[in-house]
Amino acid sequence: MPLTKRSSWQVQWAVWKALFHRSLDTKIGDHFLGPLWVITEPLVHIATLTIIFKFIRERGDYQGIPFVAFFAAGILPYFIFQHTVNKALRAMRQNQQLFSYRQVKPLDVIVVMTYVELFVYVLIALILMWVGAWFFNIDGIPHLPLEVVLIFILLCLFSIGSGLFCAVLGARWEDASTLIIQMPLRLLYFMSGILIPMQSLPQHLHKYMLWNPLLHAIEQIRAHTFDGYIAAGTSISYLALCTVANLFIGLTYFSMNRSRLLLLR
Amino acid sequence: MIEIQNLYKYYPTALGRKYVFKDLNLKIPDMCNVGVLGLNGSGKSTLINLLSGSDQPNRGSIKINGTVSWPLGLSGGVQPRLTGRQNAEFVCRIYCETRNEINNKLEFIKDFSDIQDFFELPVRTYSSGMKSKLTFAMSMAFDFDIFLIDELTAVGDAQFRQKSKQALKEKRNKASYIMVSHNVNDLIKECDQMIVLHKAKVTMFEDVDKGLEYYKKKIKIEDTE
Repeated sequence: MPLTKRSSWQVQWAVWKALFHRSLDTKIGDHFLGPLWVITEPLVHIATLTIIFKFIRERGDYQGIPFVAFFAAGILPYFIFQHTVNKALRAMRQNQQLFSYRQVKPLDVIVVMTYVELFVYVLIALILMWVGAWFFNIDGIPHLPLEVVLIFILLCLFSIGSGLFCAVLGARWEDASTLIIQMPLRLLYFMSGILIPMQSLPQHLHKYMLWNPLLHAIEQIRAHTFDGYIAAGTSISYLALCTVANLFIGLTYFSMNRSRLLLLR
Repeated sequence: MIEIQNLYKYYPTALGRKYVFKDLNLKIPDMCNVGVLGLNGSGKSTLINLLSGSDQPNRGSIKINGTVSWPLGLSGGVQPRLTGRQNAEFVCRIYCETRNEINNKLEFIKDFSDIQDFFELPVRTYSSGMKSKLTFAMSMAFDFDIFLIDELTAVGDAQFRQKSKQALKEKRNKASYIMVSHNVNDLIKECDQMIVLHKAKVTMFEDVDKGLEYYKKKIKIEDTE
């Protein structure tokens, strides 16, 4: 039976679906430990931070929010960004084989990659919310859910923009990109408000910290999740502005270099 | 029908741009099997990649009527960590719309590839012969109008070769192919027309023997120089 003629959107959708399933297959691997690790990694991270901060601080909460919920709301969104960027650096080389199918373009790989990260961490967040509410009586369910959804969408688009940029860097300068991107990424972890709320930081640091759009994303997620949380100085509109700029830069750089991304070998 | 117009293709290297094609114009009629001859590095694979759409020309256009396969023969396009089924499923998902269709194709691929329960194991556990059996079966599952074949000679054992030749022959009524091979006998047997690539010059011959003659002459001149 001959191949059916499909519209461009049908093909695009089929490619995204296929890539999504493939990424999940790869993530899960051929062992049950695969999916287990995907879920435990952020949980271990959150647990470690909670335990450490319980020791160094007298109280077990920030602004009345228990550490577990506070860190979870910071780390899960941050991981979406961090994992996307990290994976994007290697994405072009690793997925080279896919580009022999004409429907699959480098852009699709980055978009689906980000979506997979979103999917995984939102899933974990939902599980945590349920576990927290059911067993520990911690209220982590967003009190303004639509805003939270919006911030996550913006965060994803922001990650796609950065991912596109890093994909080109990784494809063109394999070794240098690790140095240029991954080292600052480590620092970014400490400057994105994951560990300490803006409100608790000295005022004179604010004007430097607030340049970081990720900080805005994380603090705003908390502000719209926990009732009464004060996210000093941050706003969704700044995040949106940065997202547009980032997407523009990412897409431009990506399309300028698109011939270099194919047939790298 | 394939129509290539004013096509330029170069690769940026440390030594500047290396042109593979300069101002290439080519017309391949429908249902015409074409052999591609050329020395190593003359651009045979680049031509196949450009036609398959996995590589883009720097300038110019390629117009193709009908569906084109991915380049068969190279066992790229499979991810070693995934199982044969997962790899096959990915390709089926790209090309098919309904779940039913995908299942049928998967059944076919498993049958045709002849690798039995290895189909459910990661591709990294395959021998190279099994790997090429799988990729060949994957491409036979779809009825493309034009098959692009890059050095598809010794796939698998004698038994499988027989089977694959048979399958290709059956496709012939509905599809045509463009074939790169160093095995000149294969090209003479299978092809109606011939493209000779030599030093960034592309010449099309409507007669296979003439193409072969030209190719031999070109190589000889080089030898005597």
